[in-house]
Amino acid sequence: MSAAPLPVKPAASTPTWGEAWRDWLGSEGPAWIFVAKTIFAALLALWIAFRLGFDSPRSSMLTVFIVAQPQTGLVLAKSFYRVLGTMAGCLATFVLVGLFAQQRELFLAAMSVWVGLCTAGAALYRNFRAYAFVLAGYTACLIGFPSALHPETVFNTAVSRVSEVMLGILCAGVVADLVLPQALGASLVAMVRGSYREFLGFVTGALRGRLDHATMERSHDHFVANVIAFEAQRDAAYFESPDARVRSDRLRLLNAGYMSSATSVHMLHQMMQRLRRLGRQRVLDQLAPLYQALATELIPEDGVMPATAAEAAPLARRIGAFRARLPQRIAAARGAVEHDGDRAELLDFDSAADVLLRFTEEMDEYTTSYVALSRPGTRAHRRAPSYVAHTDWITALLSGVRATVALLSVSAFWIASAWPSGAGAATIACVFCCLFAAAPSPVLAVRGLSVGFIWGLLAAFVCAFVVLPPLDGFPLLAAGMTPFIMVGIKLLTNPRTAGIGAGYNIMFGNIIGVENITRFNPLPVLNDGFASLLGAGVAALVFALLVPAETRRLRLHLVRSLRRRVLLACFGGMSGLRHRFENSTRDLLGQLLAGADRAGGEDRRLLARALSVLEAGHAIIDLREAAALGTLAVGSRAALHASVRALARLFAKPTQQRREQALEGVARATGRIETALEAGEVDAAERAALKRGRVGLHLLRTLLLDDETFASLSAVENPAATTASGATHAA
Amino acid sequence: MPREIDLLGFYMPTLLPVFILAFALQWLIDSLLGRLGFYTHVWHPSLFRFSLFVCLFGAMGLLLYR
Repeated sequence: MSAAPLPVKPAASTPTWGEAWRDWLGSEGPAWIFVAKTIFAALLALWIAFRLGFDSPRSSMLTVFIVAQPQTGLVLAKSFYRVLGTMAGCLATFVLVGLFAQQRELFLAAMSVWVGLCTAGAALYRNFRAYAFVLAGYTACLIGFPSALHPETVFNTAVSRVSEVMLGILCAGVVADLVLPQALGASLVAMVRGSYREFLGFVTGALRGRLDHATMERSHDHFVANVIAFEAQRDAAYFESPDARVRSDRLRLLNAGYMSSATSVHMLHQMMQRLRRLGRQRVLDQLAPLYQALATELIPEDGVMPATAAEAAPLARRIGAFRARLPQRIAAARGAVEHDGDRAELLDFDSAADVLLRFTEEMDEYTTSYVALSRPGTRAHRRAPSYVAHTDWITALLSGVRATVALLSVSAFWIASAWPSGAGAATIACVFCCLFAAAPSPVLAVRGLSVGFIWGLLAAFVCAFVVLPPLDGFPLLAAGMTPFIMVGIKLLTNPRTAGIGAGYNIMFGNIIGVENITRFNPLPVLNDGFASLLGAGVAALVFALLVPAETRRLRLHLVRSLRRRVLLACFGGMSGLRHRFENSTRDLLGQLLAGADRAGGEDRRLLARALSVLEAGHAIIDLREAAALGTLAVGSRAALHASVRALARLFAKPTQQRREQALEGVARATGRIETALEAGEVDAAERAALKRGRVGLHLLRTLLLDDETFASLSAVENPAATTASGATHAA
Repeated sequence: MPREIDLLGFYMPTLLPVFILAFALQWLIDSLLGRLGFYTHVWHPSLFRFSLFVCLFGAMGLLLYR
């Protein structure tokens, strides 16, 4: 059968052993290193716990499984919050047991309320910080339920629980940090460099007019995700090395710069589009050379991108010089427009030039903070604003109520049926409610973990009653358990099976029940296993039935609050408002995009809305800054405030009538500012602020008149529009 | 130095506060070395940090159990 051999290169068809090995090492190597490290840490924790004679050595092993993460920083961050949560949970248990130990109904009710509070906290913070709340909730269950029956033992139970968790954390942290460490810092550096390069490419593309609308949208989607991922990594890297701690402030500054530049480049693009739609050719002709000049400063036509922060230093100098020259160039271009253009054109030019100026300032800031990262010094060049996450009280409250109801119903069943494993079921129900309080689709997550539970139960059963009985001594115990553990940890390394892996590990570690005095009795093992499954079932039911997180209503609430972010710009305190507004809007958008129906085009509608909200919000802040000027006449200030209020009403609930009222308010405020500018009793700084306010008003007027923007603000939650577009997509 | 501290009737080994103290001290030294850029000259920074901690804790523990 040697006829017609395929014309393939032999090297491609049959890779040598060496190549295959290298290929495997590159793709699967890190995952297996992680598996080996985790198993080693778990067995080490188990061994020490045995030697120290802890009550339940498996808790130490379980802790290692739970904090296991591929990168050191993540392990340390999760461990830190786990310690905090465990401590808080212990203290709460002391109080609860002290108050209600005699009355089981009262005790369980109080416990449910505590767990509800912790769940609400977990839903409010979605980072590792949430994990501290989860732990505070379920540590209380873990210690409280056994010791409620014997109140005198509560202190000892708490002490041994804390010791076991600490031991597990120490082992996990030390092994992760010492044995073939995979530092988070390295991936953070790669991320910073990658996003700067990508952004630079994007900006120059936009300035040269080479990007189409779809690319623009995709990139913004990407920027939003980057901002959130970056903050999470920075937060975790803080625990990893002093290097990351020293740079933490500068990294925060960098992220803030990234966010505001992304917004202003979008505003620039929108402005160009709008001018094109309005047919302002003369204005565009004057602006085009400025855009070109900026693009050339950023990347010369044949230039290369700076690969590292140090290489970006000349770029930062170029941008700084351009920023200094820009006002003169704008004034020159303005002269040309003034010479043969009308008043409306001049206003359009002023708006566009203002946006360009702002973008240049922000790009300068962003690049400066990027370059600053390469310096070994300690200080950021200016105060770094902290990351402002969007917190939604209604969602948090709902999660809290959900957890309370879940725990109450399991407790009621426990009391009514006098079920010996009731405590286990209640604890698992509580863990699930806390853990998935903020997940975008908790029912799916609970399902994944439950599947893992079933497999973990089976594995633990086989391991405990087939493999382990003939084995004697710790080395053989370790050898017998290793294959079973390996499966679970390997599942963790793939994002698609991570949920199943986590469930498998928790169940296996919990059920295998290795103790100093081994008891081989399958009955309690099965009882505990089924109790855990039932607890998981109750949690899933509560998530599915009690105001499900996936329902349209809750989502609509979030989508609506995206528009209402403008209210923050209207009424929030002025200090640091711009950053708070920008940051929380982007954070909320990130949350929404995580669960968006991408096939139905929901992500595009959300992005369009968020970007209009950002534009309008910044313009309103400009306006408020102008209104805060001391020399402004009382009537003028009142007119500006009235226009802000009219806008706030519009963004709270967009209707045609409110749109007209807002337009009226904007027109009146514009008139006032023009009079103030013509009166000429203001100094240069105030004049600049007033001009910016007028530009903001002009932008707001354009936004309000633009039907597309108005539709994007009101249409997302409009059921008719959504179903119509969904139907067309399905067709 | 007593080897156990009586804390409201709970006997806590003195090694525990010593551990925390050593940890705090190590954190301090670690930050200082990090600011000075010392870790660029170290082959395995986390191993160095861990060893530093072992030295500190060991020395303080030995003082206690002298």
